[in-house]
Amino acid sequence: MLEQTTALENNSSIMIISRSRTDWLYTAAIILSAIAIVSSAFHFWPFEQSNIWQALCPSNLALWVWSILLTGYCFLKRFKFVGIFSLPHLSVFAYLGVNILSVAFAPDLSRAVNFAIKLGLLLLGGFTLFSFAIRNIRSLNTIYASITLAAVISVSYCLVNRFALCSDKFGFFNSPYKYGTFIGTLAPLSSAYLFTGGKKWKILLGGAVVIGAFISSGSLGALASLVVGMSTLILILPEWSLKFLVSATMLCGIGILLLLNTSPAVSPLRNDIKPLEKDGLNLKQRYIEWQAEINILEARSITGTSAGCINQYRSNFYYRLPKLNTLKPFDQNGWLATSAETGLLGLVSLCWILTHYGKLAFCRLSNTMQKLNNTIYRFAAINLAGFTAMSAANIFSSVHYNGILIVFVLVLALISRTTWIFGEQQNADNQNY
Amino acid sequence: MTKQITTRAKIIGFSLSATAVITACCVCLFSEMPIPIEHPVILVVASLFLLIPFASNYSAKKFQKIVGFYLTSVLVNELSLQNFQLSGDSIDVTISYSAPVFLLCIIAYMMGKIGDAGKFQNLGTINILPAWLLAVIIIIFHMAFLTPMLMRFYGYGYERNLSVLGSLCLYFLLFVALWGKLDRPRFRQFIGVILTVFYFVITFAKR
Repeated sequence: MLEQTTALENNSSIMIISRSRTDWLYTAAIILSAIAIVSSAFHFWPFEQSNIWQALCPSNLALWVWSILLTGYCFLKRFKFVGIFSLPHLSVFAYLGVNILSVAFAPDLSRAVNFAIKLGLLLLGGFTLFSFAIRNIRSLNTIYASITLAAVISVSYCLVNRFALCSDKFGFFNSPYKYGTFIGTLAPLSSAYLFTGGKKWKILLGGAVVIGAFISSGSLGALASLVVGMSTLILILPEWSLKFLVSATMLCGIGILLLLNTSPAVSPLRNDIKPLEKDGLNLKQRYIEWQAEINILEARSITGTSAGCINQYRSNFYYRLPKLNTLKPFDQNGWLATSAETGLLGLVSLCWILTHYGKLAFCRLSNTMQKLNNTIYRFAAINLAGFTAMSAANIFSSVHYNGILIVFVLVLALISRTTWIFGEQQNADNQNY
Repeated sequence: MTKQITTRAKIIGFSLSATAVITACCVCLFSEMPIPIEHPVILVVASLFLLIPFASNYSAKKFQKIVGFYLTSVLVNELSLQNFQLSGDSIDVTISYSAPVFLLCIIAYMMGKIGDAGKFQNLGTINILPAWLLAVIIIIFHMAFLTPMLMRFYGYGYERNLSVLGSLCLYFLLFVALWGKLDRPRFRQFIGVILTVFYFVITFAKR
């Protein structure tokens, strides 16, 4: 790995020039990325109800600090170093643009503007932060180590909370959907990284993360995203021994989860697939929300309700349902929630983002040899597993939840930068050959 | 002779698309239909953005295309909510105001195809087409998944859900018809001017 890093550094003149100029900025990016990723596991703890804390919690604060640093540096250097980090793809700008333009239709301007600012901070600030931090294999490993730490903290605290303290809370997350979306994406990413690491302790830790994530998950969305992410990994792993190992760990996790859910005392997952009508987890609520979002999409095809303003309209769109819904509203499908808020063009922009980055992840995988000791294949496989898990999580919950969006941006940045790093390396290898 | 036909087709294609946008603006303004735009200033600024003549910035030009399509779609969306009736001897036919706009755009697209015959395909369309297809697949998947579930729970037909698919198809047609035209700076600037005037009027009239 060290040789690969050296080869990459020796053969990339752009990287050497940029590193000498921006060493301190690179160090700041690595530190801020690690803070942002690890602190995202704590969500809004300990001041969940405070709006100021929600805007300035450690993970968001890291992004604000980075945005200020980068803006200042850009003005000082007159944008001469822009080539050393990648901006997001045009599709991300299109999505952001549609969200900003949809503010024109917002009944509550402050809410819509706040949502657009948050989206801009995450999609631009977050993406540039991660893309600046990931410059070589060493920094890529640091980011994956941070992801693993975040997953371990989140899973272990949730297990303690639910099974030792018998609390209704899902670790640092109050909602099982938020927890499910967070861990449903991070657990496949971190476990894939650990399973393919080669060392025994890493494989054991990877197994523990997956089993812990399955046991602690309390929603159908979490279960679906974990199964999809791990199944993708099983499909693309080249070594049969690892395929069996990952399959056995996944089955073990599902088995323990099913056993635990036979007890009515510990059965949030059972509630999530029962047609009950109560706040929190239940199947009926999910279908009511889905129908309401389709109703909004029918009435406001292009403009939507405006970014972040779905709750202002939602209660007027529960028609064609058997009775007025009195449950607490909650987005239970990221695709439909995006369409309801930003119209069909918002949905198309989101699909454009996922088509572009999905294609990038898949192409990187299919263009490399199927060997695990091939570092390119390893990271491409990890990213694809994370990407599919995230897309599945978006069906039963939303990647746009406050405090969860960072995971979505992280996956996009990982795919983009892995492609860039190994593209440079492959060019260097071809030149040497 | 062929060049003459191509030039004529291009001019007709441009004029028809432009007429579609002008017609939509006029119908919205003069038919006194309610226009639910809360903060039209944002749309005025977006329309002004279309007028900036970027020299060689590829991303900015692409973004202008996207903004141009968004603004036109918003305009057509306003028309789609309203209908006019044609009454015959025994039958009443209801037609959406947006129908003529879609029709003009599609004819313009056909004329444009004649004008562009033999040239390379528009790369921008190829790039964004999979995203539109994915959006269609996601909506169809949701409808297929949701309808039997809801029928089981509540016994409702939910046949109106199909209208969501219908509107998606209509906007897809608008996209196909306009996306190529928006490549041309003249066309972008033309609809930029029209839409700036339109949203200025909306801002001051506070409709």
